Amino acid sequence: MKRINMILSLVVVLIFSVQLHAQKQDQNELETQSQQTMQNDTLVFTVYGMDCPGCAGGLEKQVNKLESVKSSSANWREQKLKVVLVSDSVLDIEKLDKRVKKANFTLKKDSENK
Amino acid sequence: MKCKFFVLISSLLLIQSALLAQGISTDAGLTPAQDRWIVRSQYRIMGMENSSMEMSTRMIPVVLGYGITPAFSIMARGMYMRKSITNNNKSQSGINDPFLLSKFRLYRKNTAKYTLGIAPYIASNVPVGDIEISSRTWNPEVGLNISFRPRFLAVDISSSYVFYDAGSKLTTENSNKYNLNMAFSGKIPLITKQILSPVLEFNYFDKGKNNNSAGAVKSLFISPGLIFMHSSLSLEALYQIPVYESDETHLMDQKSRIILGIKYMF
Repeated sequence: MKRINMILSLVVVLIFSVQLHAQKQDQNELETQSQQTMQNDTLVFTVYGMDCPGCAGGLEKQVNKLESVKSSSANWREQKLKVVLVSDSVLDIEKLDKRVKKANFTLKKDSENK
Repeated sequence: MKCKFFVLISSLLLIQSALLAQGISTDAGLTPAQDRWIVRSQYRIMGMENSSMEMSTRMIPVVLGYGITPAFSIMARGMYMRKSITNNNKSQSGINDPFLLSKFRLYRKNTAKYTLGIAPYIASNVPVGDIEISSRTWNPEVGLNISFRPRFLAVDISSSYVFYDAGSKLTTENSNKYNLNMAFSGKIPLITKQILSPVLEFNYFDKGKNNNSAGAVKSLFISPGLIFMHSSLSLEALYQIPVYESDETHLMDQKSRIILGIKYMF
């Protein structure tokens, strides 16, 4: 029983350490994102099927393969995909749809352009 | 001699039931994205006991998964294992059979309110592991995973059937096994890209009777657990409690188990 308590305590400590580290990382990411939004064209899409933060990474990996995409970030909670375009480029929605499908998600077709 | 036989049977049963009761909803019905890698490792502590002896096993499985297409993924698992009998200080350790699995997307529906996925799989061990640890036979497995994810909740069902010694190479103490895992979990969002997820799993397995030796064994574990996920990294802990056991052989009783795991996707 002592060993179990010790292991569980270790897990809890580990979780909180990771969380503290993650909080700092998130803050840095948000600052970088807001700078990008100021400088580039950004499109926001609704994507269905993401159910955890890990899913967002799979989607971003696919979308970032598009030539016209400079970077992307997905938010599983809001079901949103934010795409930052390369300067003077146009995003082909059909190509984006194919990439979203490769990530096993579904793109809601009516998008809003920021 | 009788004692050695008991230890062998119990040891095989313990390893097989441990592998079947995967824990932490390993086999979800949602296939990964194309070109997505998943690396996963766990540390499992489990044991069995009766009035005269106690046996414990430590396992460290390492799993590598990859999404070849959105509808087809593969997975390979290697495992280090150490078995020990506490009464006589005897222990064995080594590498278990590698395990290969391929999963197919049969159905997937994504909506604003839920995601539903059904994915069958076929799998098998490759009997090349260390002789004291591995089964020395081909044991193909078929299974079906269903995942229903209504936004911040999740229900995962995994059902599988293992055909032991498919090539009839040995007349082993093993027999075919049916396994059913059900996992219910909630997702508590913390900050951006982080969730804390309490999990409750039910792990049932039914090892049928065979002609050779051991009788049928049925057991049910109820397993509370916790998953912490930050972006593509997740840490998980599960405590498996045996709540029901029907063992015709009356060899040894299952003890509670602990699973600690880490998973990374990229």
